[in-house]
Amino acid sequence: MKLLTRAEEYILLAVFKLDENAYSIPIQEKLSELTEKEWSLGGIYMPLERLEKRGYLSSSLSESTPERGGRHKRIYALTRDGKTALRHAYEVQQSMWSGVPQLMFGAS
Amino acid sequence: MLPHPPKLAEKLLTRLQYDDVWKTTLGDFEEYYAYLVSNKGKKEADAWYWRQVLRYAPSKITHKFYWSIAMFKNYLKIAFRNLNKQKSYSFVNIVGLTIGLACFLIIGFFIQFELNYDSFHTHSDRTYRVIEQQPQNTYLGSNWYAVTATPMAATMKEDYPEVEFAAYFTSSRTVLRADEKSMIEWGIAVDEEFSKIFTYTWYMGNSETALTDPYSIVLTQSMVEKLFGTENPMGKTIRQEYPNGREVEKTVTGVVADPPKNSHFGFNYIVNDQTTPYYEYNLNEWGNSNVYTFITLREGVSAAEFSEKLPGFASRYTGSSEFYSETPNALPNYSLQSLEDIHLSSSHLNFNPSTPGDIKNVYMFAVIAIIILLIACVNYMNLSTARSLTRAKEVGVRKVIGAYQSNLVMQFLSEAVLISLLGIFGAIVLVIFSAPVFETLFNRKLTTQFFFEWEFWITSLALSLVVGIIAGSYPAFYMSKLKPVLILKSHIKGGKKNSIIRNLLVVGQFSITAVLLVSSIVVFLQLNFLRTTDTGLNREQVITIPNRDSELWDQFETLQAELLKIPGIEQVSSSQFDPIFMSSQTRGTEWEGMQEEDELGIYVSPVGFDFIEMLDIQIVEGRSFSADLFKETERDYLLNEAAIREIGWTKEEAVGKSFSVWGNQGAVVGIVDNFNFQSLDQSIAPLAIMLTPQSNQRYVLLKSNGVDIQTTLASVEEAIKKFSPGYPFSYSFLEERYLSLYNDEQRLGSLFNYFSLLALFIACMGLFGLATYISEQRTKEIGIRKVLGANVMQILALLNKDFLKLVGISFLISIPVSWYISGIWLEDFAYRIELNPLIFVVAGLIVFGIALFTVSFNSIKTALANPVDSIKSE
Repeated sequence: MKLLTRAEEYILLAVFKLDENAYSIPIQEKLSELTEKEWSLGGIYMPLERLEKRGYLSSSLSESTPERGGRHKRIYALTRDGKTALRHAYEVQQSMWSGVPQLMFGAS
Repeated sequence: MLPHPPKLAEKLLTRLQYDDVWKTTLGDFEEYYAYLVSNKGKKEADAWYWRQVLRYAPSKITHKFYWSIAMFKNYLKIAFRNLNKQKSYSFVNIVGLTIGLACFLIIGFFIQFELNYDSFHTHSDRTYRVIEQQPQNTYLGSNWYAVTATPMAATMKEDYPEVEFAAYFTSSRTVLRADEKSMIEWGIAVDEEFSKIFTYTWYMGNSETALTDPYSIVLTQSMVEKLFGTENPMGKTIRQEYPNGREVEKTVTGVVADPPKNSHFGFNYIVNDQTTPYYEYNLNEWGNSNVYTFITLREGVSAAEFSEKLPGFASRYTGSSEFYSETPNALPNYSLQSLEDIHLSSSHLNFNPSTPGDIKNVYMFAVIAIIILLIACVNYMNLSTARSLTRAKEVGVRKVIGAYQSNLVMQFLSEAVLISLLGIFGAIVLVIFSAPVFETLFNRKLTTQFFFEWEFWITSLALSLVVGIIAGSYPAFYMSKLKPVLILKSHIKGGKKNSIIRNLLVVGQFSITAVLLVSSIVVFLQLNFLRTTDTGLNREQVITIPNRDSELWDQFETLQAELLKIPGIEQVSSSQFDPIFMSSQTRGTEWEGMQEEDELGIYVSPVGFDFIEMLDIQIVEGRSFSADLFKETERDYLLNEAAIREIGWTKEEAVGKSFSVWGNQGAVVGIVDNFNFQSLDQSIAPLAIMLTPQSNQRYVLLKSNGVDIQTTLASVEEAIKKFSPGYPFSYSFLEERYLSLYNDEQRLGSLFNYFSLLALFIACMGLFGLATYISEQRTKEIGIRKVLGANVMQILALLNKDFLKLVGISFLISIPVSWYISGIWLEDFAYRIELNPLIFVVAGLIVFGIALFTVSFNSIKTALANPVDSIKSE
């Protein structure tokens, strides 16, 4: 299985955490908040699109809401494949990091 | 309420997004924009929003371009396949459009040429000719004159600050002599400011100073070649002899290019007016109109406003002359005529320096060009809609796959444009090859290397676009409207409405064609009538030799005797004016019983003995001129019937009455028949033929026996040279010159005939295509009919009936229209043919015959085909 990039991983996580509200703007806000660095809107469109193409995300149009000038939102949701990919990424991370913190930062 | 992004940017962004995406991204952008406004301020937010617009633009444009090219490639492919599949149909369309467009281009060149006369002068847009109306002086049917008095130009410049330049010129034929050579040439005599208004191309000499010396002469390039060959002409001496015999030595001070063909006056040389005879007299004479006056108004001066000052000018100066102070009612009116308009708006003016063009011809040819093009367009419309059945399936499939009506309209329009592009390509090739022929026919220079002018290509491209869109619009809208369900489910029928429109178009085409044909027959007959009608003069074998040498006229009697000795010469006479165009008119007549208020405008022609006999002019009363009864102290006059009617005499009482012209006392010795002494567009005016055998004439007239004319002419030249060694010898046949009076009409008439035939040809091509297609469609039906026992004649009748009916209807429509149009055209001629119903019968038979031939060409093939072949194929 192809490994997720760090950005993809974060986006998938953001989508998961946002749940029903997972569309571009909150995703961008969440990422900026958690990583403490500004993410541009354009910078998340492309990975979102790519992830959807790879089948890790699915999307649907929401009802139009008045505060967006009557425009739809594209709401993203994690698919099963997406979850598998995240788990895989987590496992890889775990095994990569195993033992390192004790050696590097001292006993926890 | 959330802050709203800039309206314009939002709109742009909406357009730039792909159809399905914009709904969400735009919402995202709006939200993010709101976030930016609250966090970073409106300015930054706006900037961000605009950046997004810019970011989306390139991809959208390339996207759009890519797909339209892809679609266009497909349209082209389909169009070429269709062209290829239906060769005869494509041929008809492309050839029709080629001919139509070629006619259009050629006529376009002609019209452009006509409209651009004299525009090559630097200030042509604000230069005007002063023209003059002499209310009491009607000449050749009009009292407007292109000439004014000599002091006009200088006085105008002095009096009106609005006038920047003012100049005049006169045009005349004088004899030029250089070394051994002598020739009679047209030239102009000009004043100082001439070169400021008329800006020719100077090859040698300085335009500003070359003509200041009265004894200078400027030659045109072709005149230099005639006189000096390749030698440098500057500083050479030329002797110029004026008609009154005065000879002046002149020095060549400049060479100009030959005046362009689109000039309203031409010349072979320019001289200073100061050496012209009577210069001093004319300089202050307001009662003598003999020069062309031009003024250039300062920039920004309105000609209309300036014209209002002209009446005052007339009363102030012209009125002061001796002539006009006696007859105030005769005081002339002045008017300004734009230099660029002279060529097309001078037909009512007398004494134009050249035959002016006629705006009516321009309109006529413009109409013909449009008609021919429309006929070709209609061919395309008819053939495409007729063939719509064949392509209905394609339309259906395209629609099912998702083509909008607009896509199909685009497709069929681009097919039409493609065909018209092929047409214009062929037309340009055709024009290149046929331009020389049309140049002669129009007697105009049509092509100024149009090939290298980008305007030409732009115009051609635009033309083919317009033609394509006109021709393609009806088929495109018709075909794109077909309903896919109907097309694909069942075999649709041709549609009644469709065929009605097609029939209407065919009727339209053939009505117009028939009108053109009838008109061109009328034109042909009228012109033939002008050439052959009996004008009352016998011009056969009459030779005219112009000569103004007083040496010759002093010894004319001896010359006459000498000439009569030449075996081929039967009669010798002389005249002061051209016998086929006696154009000198006077009011200086007196007659027996004349009242104080009587006035008679009469044309006068001084002639020698035997003039009447040579030209077979009929004497209806009294006697002809006779050498035996000739008295040196008294003039003999012959009046025509129009003259005595005007005076109020009967034929019988006129003979013997005393009569005088220009103070030459004499008597009427006889009355001549009303013969045409001018061209036939003039009705016969009063004429006095005056016997003046001993004064200086201008033409030696000879009647030959028609045998071995070359030898005779050689002997004549020898005899004349003996009496007038220094004067250039030239001759012409009266008949030829008479016919040349109608050259313009003749040329335009034959052009009209050609274009009418082309129109007929194109219309027939359309009919041919339609007939081919329809007989193809009905092959199976014909086969079955034959099997059931129909014979060839019946089938021919079946196939031809419908078309011939249409042609018949067109012909009926054309009769009143062409009757009306021909009537209007004929009105301009004082002598004209009657509109004979036979003309319409002949035109009808021609159209009908050609249509029958066209249609039968195919139907015979279909009718003769073996039914076995036509039925078995599926």
